[in-house]
Amino acid sequence: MPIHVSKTEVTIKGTCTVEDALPLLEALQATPAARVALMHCTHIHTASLQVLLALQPSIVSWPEEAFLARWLTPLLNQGGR
Amino acid sequence: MTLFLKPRTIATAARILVIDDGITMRLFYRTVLEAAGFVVEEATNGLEGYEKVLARPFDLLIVDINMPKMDGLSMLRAIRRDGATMGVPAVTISTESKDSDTLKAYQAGANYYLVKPVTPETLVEVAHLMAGVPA
Amino acid sequence: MTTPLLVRFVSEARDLLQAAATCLLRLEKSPDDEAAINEVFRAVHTLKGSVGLFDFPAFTKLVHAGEDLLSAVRAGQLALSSELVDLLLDALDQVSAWVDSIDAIGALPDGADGVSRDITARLRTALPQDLEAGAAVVPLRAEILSSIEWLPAVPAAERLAALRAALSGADILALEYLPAEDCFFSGEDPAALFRQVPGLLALAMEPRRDWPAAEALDPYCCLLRFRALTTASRAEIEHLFRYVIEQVALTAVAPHLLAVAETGLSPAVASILDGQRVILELPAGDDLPSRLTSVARTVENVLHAAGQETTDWREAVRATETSGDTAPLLAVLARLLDARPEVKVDAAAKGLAAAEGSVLSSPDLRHASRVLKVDQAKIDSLMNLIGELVVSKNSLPFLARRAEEVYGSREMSREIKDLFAVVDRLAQEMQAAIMAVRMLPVSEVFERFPRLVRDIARKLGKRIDLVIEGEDTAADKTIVEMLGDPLLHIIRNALDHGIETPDEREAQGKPVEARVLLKAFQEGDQVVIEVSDDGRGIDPVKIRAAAVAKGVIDAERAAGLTDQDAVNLVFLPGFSTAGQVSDLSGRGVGMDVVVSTVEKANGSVSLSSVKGEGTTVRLSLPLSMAVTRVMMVEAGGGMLFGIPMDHIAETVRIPRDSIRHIKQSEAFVLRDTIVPLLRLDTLLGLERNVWFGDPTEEDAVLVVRIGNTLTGLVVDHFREGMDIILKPFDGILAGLPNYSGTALLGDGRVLLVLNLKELL
Repeated sequence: MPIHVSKTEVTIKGTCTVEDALPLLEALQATPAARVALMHCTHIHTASLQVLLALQPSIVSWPEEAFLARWLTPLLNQGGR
Repeated sequence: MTLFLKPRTIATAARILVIDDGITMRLFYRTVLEAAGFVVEEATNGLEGYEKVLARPFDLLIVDINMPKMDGLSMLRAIRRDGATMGVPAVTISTESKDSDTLKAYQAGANYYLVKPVTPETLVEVAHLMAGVPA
Repeated sequence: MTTPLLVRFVSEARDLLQAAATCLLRLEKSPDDEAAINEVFRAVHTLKGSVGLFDFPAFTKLVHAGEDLLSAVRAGQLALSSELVDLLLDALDQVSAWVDSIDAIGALPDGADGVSRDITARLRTALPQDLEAGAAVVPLRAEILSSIEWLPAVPAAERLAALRAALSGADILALEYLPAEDCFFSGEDPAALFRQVPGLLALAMEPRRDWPAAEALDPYCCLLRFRALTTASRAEIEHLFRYVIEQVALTAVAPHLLAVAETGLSPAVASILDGQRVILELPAGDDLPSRLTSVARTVENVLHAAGQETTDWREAVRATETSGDTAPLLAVLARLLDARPEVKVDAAAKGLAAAEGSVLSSPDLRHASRVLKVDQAKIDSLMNLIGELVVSKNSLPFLARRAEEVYGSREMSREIKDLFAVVDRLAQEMQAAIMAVRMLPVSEVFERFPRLVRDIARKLGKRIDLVIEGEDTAADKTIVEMLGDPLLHIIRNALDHGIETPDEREAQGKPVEARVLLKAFQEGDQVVIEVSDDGRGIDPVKIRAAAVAKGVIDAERAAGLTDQDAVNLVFLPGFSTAGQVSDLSGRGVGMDVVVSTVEKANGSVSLSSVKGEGTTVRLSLPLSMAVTRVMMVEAGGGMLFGIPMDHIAETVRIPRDSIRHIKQSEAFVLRDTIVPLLRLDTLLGLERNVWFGDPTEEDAVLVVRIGNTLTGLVVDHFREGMDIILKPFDGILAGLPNYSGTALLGDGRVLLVLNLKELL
């Protein structure tokens, strides 16, 4: 599983697939204040991506992968909650 | 470090040196730029361009990249090494359009990068701006 | 239709194509010739740049494909085989034909698109596979389309990047992708597609409507909408999005639409300033001072030209001067590029700047010392004018004589003579100058032979190494231009008849590859061109037999000829040595045509040959034929004719009664030699003066030498000699063999110049 959920943090690593969208949504719904770590994430499926975009969680670490860093970061950067 | 801003001599029309081995390209530049009020000189390769730049000041260099004897980027490097000529604005114009080509040109000392074919309008606008002459 | 730029393009394109073809052949011979590959690449590259100025997409695409191929060869990714050379030469030929068409009608012929596609495809298939894909995109000018309503929402920095790309020639596409809401169930991952979009300049992933509340969000209902700007081609995008293409809208973006209006800067200003930002952010070494200097000046210039305030920039420059840190400069640039609209410059200041600008841009004098490419017709007309000046000048001595004899003013006569001396000197200098301009290197004609020899050799299955020497030797343009056809014929003859097949050569212990030497050099006031081969040579025995068989000469005379004389029989009209007329050099045109062409230009041809070792043909021509010295004579009761001085041995007066009559012809004795006598009147079909039998009357006889034969030519009167510029006849008069041309006289009369060789 690319998604690890702790009390205060959701860590996404490697390739986040379409199946991960629901667990991710549920985790963020359960803990709205949870912060998301994206540093080691290499791809996020669109379904999971729109979860992040819709819920705008606080981000604790930014993705290092070039495409995400370039195009996802600004979309999540705009404030959080 | 002591640098830069020599006030541009504003007594005469701006002088542009066109360095391109293509005779048609040179005629194009000359026709378009002279019609816009610039004084245009030509050089047919980097070496000739370098010699002309050393001989007298120009307000703008328009530089082709692939040329015989000395290519445009080598010429720019040489010009940038010389205290008297290092500040002259230069725009390279080439058929290559990749980002890496642009960066290579900037690295060599270009201030701007245009890709052939350049329209007369773009050429004149860029020349006015870079030579510091209001249109 | 044709602009000066197009005219220049046509002439440059021809030069470049010739250079490219020459280098290709050099390369085929020695594939490691780095100078040759660089030169051919540069020629094609320059051609690509130049043709881009015009709207000839078929031309551009073909040249572009050729350049890619050459680029691969240059990079060592592709070996230059004979087939590849053929392919490239074919492409060059096609382009040449297009250049001719552009020259003639200002456009490409119908069907050029299809031809271009075919040849381009052939060139592309020769490319290594991995290069092929990237090469296929030809940047052509973007079509200007209507506005895209979401464009203003693209962040300024990204629009700027797109603008910069657009201004530097890239075509920008706007892409909007609205995936189906249930797309996840069919296994789609829309965001992943964008990872593969090349040249992605902007990407916005937004909800197509407001997000529902967190509790109500269905992660498997796709609510996203994607909007992007890219430099990728339409074809690339269409391929990439082929399964969802109906959900994608593609629009070409005109550069002006990308203008970042809220900064108050024009697109070009913004783009150039952004360029300076990029330059400052590049890692710098000891080139930092020069980089800062040129950036400082460029930004200053741009702001000044755009009517913007420069105070901030200057302050930042001063700060950087002391600290060496570029941060203040970057801060000002960032402020300028991201600034909201602000009216910084009031109208008065703008007006002032504009006024200053108009003073600045008043055109200055041009500076000369550059090479001009001049239409040959203009040189020719200058040449003619100088010729007329030379002739007019010649009338001044007559005027001087009249001043003295008719008007009795010796002083006036002397003044005219002084003036004549000055004009004479100037005219001579002008003549020398224009003749120098007309000098061309023989390489102008030599250039086409490597290709020709290669093609013919392949056709004949022979192996030939063409060596060219002395191609820098220069001669008058008329001479150089007339050389082409005779040389072509001589070389074809050598290849066709002189050179043996590789098998024959091997059998004779000769190197399999034959050698043809084309050599030019100057000898006195002559330019000499030699074509030598190491082929089978000419067999005098066979030549004698052939000449007799063809009835060119009778058997008795043939037997009496020396071997050298026998070899020279090939120059006789109608002679051809090959058993059958060959496709290449046959067609009944023989060496006699070479001889007559060369002799027309006052040159001579000689041939030497050793059986089994080879043949050398030598053409000797005057360096310049611009000025001809003629003697004027009167005939037909007052008509003037010019006779080239070269042919005149002497002038004599013979008493009428010492003319001998032999059958129908006349002759006279000149220093113990009998010289046949002809009358110019009769030759030209003019009315003849009647002799009433007065034995004291004398005939004016011009003794002329044609070859080694002396002939006496009876004229009415001798007149003065003079320099003339000979204008050959053109049009229907060109067929008149008895005259070599005309010249204009000082008094406006036209002088007919005789072609004695034909006349006698």
